[in-house]
Amino acid sequence: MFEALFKCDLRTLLEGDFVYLSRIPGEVRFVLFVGFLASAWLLYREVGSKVSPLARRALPIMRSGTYALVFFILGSPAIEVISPGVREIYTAVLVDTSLSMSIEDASTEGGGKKQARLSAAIELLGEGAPEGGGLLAEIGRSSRCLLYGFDRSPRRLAGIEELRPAGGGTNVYRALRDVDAELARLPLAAVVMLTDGCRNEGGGLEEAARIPAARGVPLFVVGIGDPSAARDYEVVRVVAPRRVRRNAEVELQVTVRHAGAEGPFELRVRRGDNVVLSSREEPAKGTDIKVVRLVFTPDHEGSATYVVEIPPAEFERTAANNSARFAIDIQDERLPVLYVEGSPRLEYRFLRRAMFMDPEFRVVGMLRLARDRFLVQGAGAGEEHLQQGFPSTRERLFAYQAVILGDIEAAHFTREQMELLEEFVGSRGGGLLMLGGVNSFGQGGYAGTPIEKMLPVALAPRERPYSDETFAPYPTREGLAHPVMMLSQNPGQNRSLWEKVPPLIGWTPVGSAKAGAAVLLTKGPGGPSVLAVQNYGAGRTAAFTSGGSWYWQVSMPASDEFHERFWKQLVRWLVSGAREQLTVSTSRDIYARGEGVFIRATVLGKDLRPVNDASVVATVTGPSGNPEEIPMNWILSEEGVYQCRYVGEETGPYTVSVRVEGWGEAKAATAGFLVAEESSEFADSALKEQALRAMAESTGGRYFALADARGLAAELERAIARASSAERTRRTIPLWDMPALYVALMGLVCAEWLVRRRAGLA
Amino acid sequence: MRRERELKDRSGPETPSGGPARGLSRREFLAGGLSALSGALVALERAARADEAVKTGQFVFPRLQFAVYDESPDKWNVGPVGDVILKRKLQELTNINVSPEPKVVRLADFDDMCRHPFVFMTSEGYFRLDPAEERNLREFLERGGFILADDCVLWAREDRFFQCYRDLVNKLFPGNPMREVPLDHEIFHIYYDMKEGCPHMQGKRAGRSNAWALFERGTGRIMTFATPGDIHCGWMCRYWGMDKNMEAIKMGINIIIYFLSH
Repeated sequence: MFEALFKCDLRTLLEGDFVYLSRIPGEVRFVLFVGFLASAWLLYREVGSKVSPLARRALPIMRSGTYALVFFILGSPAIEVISPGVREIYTAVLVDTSLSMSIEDASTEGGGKKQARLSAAIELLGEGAPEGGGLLAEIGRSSRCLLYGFDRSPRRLAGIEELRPAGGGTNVYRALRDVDAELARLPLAAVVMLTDGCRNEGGGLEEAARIPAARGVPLFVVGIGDPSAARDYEVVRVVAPRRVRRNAEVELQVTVRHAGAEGPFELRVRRGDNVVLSSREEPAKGTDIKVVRLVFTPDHEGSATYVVEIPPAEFERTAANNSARFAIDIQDERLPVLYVEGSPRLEYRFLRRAMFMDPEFRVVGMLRLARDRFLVQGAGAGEEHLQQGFPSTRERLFAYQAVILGDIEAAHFTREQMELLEEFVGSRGGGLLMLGGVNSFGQGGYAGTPIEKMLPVALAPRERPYSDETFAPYPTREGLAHPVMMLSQNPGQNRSLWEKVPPLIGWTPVGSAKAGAAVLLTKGPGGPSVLAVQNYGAGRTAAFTSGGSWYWQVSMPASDEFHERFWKQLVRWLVSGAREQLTVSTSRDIYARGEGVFIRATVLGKDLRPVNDASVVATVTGPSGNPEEIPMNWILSEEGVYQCRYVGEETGPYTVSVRVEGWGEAKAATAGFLVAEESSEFADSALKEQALRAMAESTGGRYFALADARGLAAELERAIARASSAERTRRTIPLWDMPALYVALMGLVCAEWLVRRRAGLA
Repeated sequence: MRRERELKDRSGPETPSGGPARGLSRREFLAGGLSALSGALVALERAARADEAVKTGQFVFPRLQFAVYDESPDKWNVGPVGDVILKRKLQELTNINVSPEPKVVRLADFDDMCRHPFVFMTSEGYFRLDPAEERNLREFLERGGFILADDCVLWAREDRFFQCYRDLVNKLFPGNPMREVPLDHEIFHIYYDMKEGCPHMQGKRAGRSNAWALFERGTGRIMTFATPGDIHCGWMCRYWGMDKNMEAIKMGINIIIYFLSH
């Protein structure tokens, strides 16, 4: 009955803090109340002579009481009481289920028998904790425990039996972020994370720690694994060309980590079970990283996947990081280069020789032997027109991907031929290289021609003669980082190679480099350009102002391939924008099983203009050998580009062959990709103890080694107790709607009315 | 044919027919060469009308100095007039910019030799290189250098130099011996059409084409070209009649153009 009238029990009413919740300030309410009170006394003073003395005293009192009650209600009174926590406290337990957790290097106290990291985590959660109940049971006594597995993203688990090491990556940031979002409305006491911290991707650990820290939740990390840098071989990275021409050499740059290795190790390349190359390598001195250059010639057709691997050593914790895969697509056509030279000279002999010896290139030479007499070398069927001179039509010139202008004067070309050459570079994406000589650049009369516009250097006046001087080329800082000059992946070694390069003989004076051009070699520090390159439209151009690079070849040992490599790299760089009629590509070499692969093809006509109405079909052949045809559709947003999607469900190599209806099979373009389980998780697989410790401590939590994980239960108990305490809230009971108030108000109003009626005032 | 007529018209003075001037002293031989040179230069100067503006590079025609150990009278430096005449013809009839300066290189001075990737070598007799010179010769050829070795023919019949050079190259490149150059090889047709192969001035013939070469493995490019037929004496335009001498000059031009284009 009391609680019905007063909305709470007497104890609450007596012990609670009485407050007014009204937005009208108390002073205002008080002044108004006094005003009303005064009006009531004035009103009843006038009628005092008409009523009995009792009524004269009772009426203003009752009216005052009424006003007091009304103003009390308008003040929105309430009682505040401290109430004990009513909600359940939660603890989130996140277990790393990435592949690196399968490494068998986890040991509990005393470093006894090694077991897989995840097994150790499961043991800790289920059985290893004090009293045999496991950590989960321990947590469950005082809070509700939510178990998550995480690799690249977290997922809620029903029990530890669902924990499997299968994730191809680890993303601690995303795990904490998603769990935080899921538990945003719940009182969270702590987050417990069992991980090795290996190969974390996405946000950094510091950034991840801010997520629980922002809501005051401590993060407790149990580090699992061996923190010491283990003796281990790892194939860190393989840089390989994706597409090469038939019979061309493939050069691989393989980065190997050989932590703790003392003797030589074998590095081999295989395709399937067939070992195509094996190399015995000595460990690098002073570092555990070594970059190895391997060269081999593929002997397959179409696309194939290769594996670079180091055979496992006995001391390794895991052999899963001992290999890396790459794919190579064989192109049938050799890279067509047209080289026009004004007169027989050593530069022609040695530059042509540098590329002629490489089956990747098809160098067609036009060498002027005498006035109006050319020697055409390397021309194939359909190139007989070269006997009549430089190509004059789009179809004929666009059959090449690069044009080299040796020492030949501008007057040799018609204006139309030079304009066509500009279109060849700007639209077709071809490459143009001009070499130094007495008849090239400004001395060749190129000023004011379309070719001048394309060159990366300004031309010097024609009066400045060609110099026969011998000089040492100086590599610029920009040059040393440029792919054309990258003779070694090691920057220091590359610089050293260029500093030792023999001199050049002869130099054509040129002006300064144009804006946007990159100067790679100069004639001494800060001197004029010897080699400058730039992009021009869809293509690229280069100016090599010396005519004496042949001296590099004859002044270095025959076994040294500096000269050949330099020229091949320059020409490859020049043609990298050259467009082909039909190309196909995938965005990556390797995909996870079930991941969508977008296959993209570009279709151009004979004049290399985009074709948007072609009927394009991709044929994907998987490891089982069953071809699947997928029609490709023009993607509307890009001219001549067609796309389709494929999902590889089997692991292994896939081949994509794209053809255009009506073009014939010979013009089909091929590419390849691999569907595989990822192994990057095994790279650098030592426990990241320092980083994990810093992450935990920045949230107010603690880091535990697996051997010390017994202390975690006590820490969690304290955290849960703190969370429970924080969960106790101040409860507010509004009193403005308390029935007792309205009963009293009605009583006063009725009593006043009865007295006034008996006194004859109503 | 037009070019061949042109070559004939611009050649040096008519040379005495008959065999080579064996029995002449070295001094008489050189004196005769110089007189022939002066006449040739006058004639060539009038006829030369090549466009210098389009020529580039500096083609140097050096001789290799080496040790001949037998009693043959003509050593490495025999008949320099022939070199001069050949260079003038090259300058006149082709687009090659030829340096008129004489040049002598030695295998012992390898750095200097490498500045001149084309080297001419001749002698009458046996010669010997020391091991370092042999290594340098092999390295020179492998780097892309080219040696034209022509036998000066001792006593109008011996091919000692040719045999000696061939044995040396075969020793330096085991497994890749010198072979006779086939008649349809580009070197016989690249500028002038030498249907009969390398002209034979005197001495012993060596196969149908009268020329042997070391072919680079993989590319087939000629690395060194050896002839037993004394073509450099033909360049001197002193013996054997004009037509035969002109054939020798044509072959020399073909060899140099082949070198500069391969």
